[in-house]
Amino acid sequence: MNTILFFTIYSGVIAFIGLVSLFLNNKKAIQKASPPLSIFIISLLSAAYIILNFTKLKPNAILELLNWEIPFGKLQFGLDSLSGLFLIPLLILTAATSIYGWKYFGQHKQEKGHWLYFTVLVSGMVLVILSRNAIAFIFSWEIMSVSSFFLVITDKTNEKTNEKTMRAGLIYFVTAHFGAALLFIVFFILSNSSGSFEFASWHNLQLSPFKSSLIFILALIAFGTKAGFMPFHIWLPLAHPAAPSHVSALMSGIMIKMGIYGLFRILTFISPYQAWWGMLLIIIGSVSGILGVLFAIGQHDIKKLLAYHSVENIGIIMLGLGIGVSGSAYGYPLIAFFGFAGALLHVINHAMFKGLLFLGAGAIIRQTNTGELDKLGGLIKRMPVTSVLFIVGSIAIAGLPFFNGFISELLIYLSSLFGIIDSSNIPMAFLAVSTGASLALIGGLALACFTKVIGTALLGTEREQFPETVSEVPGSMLAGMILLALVCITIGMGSYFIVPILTGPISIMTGSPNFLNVTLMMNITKTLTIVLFSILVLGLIIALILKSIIKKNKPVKIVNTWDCGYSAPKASMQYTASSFAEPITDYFSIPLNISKKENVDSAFFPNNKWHFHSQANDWILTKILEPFILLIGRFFSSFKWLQNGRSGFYVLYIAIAILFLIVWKFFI
Amino acid sequence: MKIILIFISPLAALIFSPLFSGIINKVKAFISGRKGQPLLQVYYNLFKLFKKGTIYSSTTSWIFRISPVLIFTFTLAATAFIPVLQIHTGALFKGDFILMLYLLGISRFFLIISAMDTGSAFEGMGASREAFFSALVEPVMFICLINIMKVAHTDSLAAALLDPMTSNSIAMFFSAIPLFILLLVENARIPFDDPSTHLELTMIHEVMILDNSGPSLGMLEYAASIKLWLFSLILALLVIPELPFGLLIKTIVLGLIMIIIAIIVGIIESIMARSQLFRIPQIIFGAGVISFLGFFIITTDILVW
Repeated sequence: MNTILFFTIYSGVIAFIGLVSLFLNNKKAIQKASPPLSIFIISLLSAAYIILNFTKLKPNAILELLNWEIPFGKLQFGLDSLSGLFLIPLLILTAATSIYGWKYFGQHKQEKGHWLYFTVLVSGMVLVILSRNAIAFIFSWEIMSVSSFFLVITDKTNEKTNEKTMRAGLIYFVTAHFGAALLFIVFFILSNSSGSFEFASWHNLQLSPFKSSLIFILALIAFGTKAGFMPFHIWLPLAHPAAPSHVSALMSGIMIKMGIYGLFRILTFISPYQAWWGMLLIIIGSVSGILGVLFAIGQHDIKKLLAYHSVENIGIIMLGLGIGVSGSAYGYPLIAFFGFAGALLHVINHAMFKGLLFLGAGAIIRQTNTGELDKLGGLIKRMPVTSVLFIVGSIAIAGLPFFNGFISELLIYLSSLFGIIDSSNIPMAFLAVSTGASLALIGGLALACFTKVIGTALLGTEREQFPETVSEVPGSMLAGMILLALVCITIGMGSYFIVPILTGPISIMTGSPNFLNVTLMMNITKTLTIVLFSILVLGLIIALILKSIIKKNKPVKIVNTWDCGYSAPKASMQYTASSFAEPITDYFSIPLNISKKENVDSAFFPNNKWHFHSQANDWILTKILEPFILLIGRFFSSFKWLQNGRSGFYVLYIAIAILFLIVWKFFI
Repeated sequence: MKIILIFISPLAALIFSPLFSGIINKVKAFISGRKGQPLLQVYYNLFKLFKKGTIYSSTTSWIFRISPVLIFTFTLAATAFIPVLQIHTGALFKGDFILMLYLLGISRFFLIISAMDTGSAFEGMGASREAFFSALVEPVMFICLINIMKVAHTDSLAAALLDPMTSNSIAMFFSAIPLFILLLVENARIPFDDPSTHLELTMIHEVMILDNSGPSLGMLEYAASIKLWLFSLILALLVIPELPFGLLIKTIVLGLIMIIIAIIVGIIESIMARSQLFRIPQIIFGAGVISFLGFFIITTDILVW
């Protein structure tokens, strides 16, 4: 069967399921279960289908659906390996989030249209990936943006959060449409140069450097508002915490990647690349990466923290993309190959572990009713499976070995290494070293951030005694998380078997596939896979030895934590998330814009309760974007007198306009 | 044959790393005018710990029990990437140092969360500091190792270290100085941390393992001495001159350089006080500036001595 037709039908079927769900009664178990379960099964089978057929994807095949003579051309769809690469994480994540979403709304009220918005979002994203024509692309892009807006504002559990949720939704809506407006301009310039709205006609346009740079910058901003790198990340930390967790997982895992997909797609049209594009991308990548993770460390709300980590990971993808583009521009195919490989693999990886982490966070919030790190603690005893899965996700997102995050970061590191060692080009070497060093700093800070989350939320003792009902989540929710965790481990341990899928998309980006580079990547991942497995075996042996030693020695005693002689440690004496983060937030207090509120009783024997509150304020929206937008608003409000509401004036305007046109036509 | 060579470095680390720590202790004792503990005391301590019973805190979970094993394994595995015998075995793979650094990273991850697992204020404090300082160390470490590889013009750290760097003294200087600072930071030595006290509030590493006992504590102390050994070995291979001798003499010279490094660390610990906590990021930043300056000089070739 034709793969393009298959996935066009898939998007239709998924949307249809959503439509049917409107007529089902949520109070009956079977009717409640059928939409998520059918989405789960269909998506999982489709994911298996595309993975099996991945090497057979044809780059230039086009499916012309609905051969309408609508203005600007037909609806055209296609599926090459670049699209396929984004489709795989989308399908897996859809499967995981849908089965998770089945029982997520256990205590909360589920909105009637929830599954409709969900499925429309999914099918919108599938269509964005399949589109081969500007009209189809913008059409699907809008479907995606609008349906996700409704999903963001779904969670109206109580009146207090309602206003906040609406504000988040509104900011998201405005940024999404700002991006879409620029997208129109990008497509207009491209179609103007080629005379057609079809993507196929946009290759090899031989654009002037100015024109291609203009397209690049506009596309960067247009897709950047969706991808959410700095300074266009403003909607992410607002929208993700507001949405239900499995929707956050879907949005953060794959919807923001549609921006990355668009950027990749546009880059295929405007080669050869300029050297400064790569530099710009690397600067954006390192700023988003470092500031993203720093802001994440400053957060105490688990979902907001994860939202900032999306900014960080988009930064890592931009670093890979940037060094790939620089490698292309300076004429080093090896650097370009590994840079693009790292960026593309990180797209899949981030979708998997970020999805897993959001689902884990959602499980915690669902059971405890709070996402405040400083109110949690000791959950590993009450929710053992969720905790293990959350730790898996954390190790993966910190880019540590044995899980998938390490593989994609390693590829970007290798690209930077080749840029430093093998190229004699000095600017290339400096770009490469800043990529590598930023990645190292991001990795170190991400480790600090996730040890903070695990240490305060999952480990230690409960800071506030939870009610008895706080226990493990239902099996269907765990199933969604386990699916994602398995993918994380598979990519991390079996990278040798996974990386071949990257060669197709890279050859779309860089032109001819270089077999030497492919062999090099295969060799490295092969060694890596062997080394990682041997280390695990070594670890197992050491663990067995230690276990037998402990058993042979005197019996194991269980006592209180040693608190330097104090024998009655309390839960409140534990290190909190804010105190754990304090050295870092203090050191970086200027970029983080930390505000502190304390109410200290400074008497020797203080009677009153002390209050301390610290918060990292995102200054990019409040200090830069809002004043800028207000400035524009003020400028245009100076034309308000034109709109005075008297119809006589409007007739006068029309007359003036006609007069002007006549003068312009006949006298100039 | 080459497969066997991979096991030599971890084996050497297992055997000699406690001796290395022993030498540092002896030097410190000598300078302060004490007779000091026997040279092999670190071995005796490890043996003693492995024979003792174990106490776990009631707060802890399986994370705390499994962490010592993981930390020890990953640290030991990291040593496999640095050759003790100076023969070209063919690079393990391009970019091997990334895996080495990240193995140390994952062992740090488990060290930090196992400290948080105890729910103790002290251990949380140490964990927080460790997380912060090591995050700052990462990029500096990256540039340092990159410098070494850039001079040797190879993609593998193991291959670069086998290529004597003394011909390029300026590059060696700019890699060795920051690397030595990182050695002290990463291994919790004075002036960054004090390895000999246990209950100071300014502690980083020692405070994180307060609740470990018996074989678990033994694993962690062993891992700590292996890590110190690993960093010193990188430094020793960096400064070793090109010798026209056989493998045996080369290895002996390497051993002597290791002893000299141990003595220098011992002297620094004896004559310096632990610096204030807020100075540590500044010193790491200084090391970063030196290493970046080294990168600048190596890449642009503006100074050839």
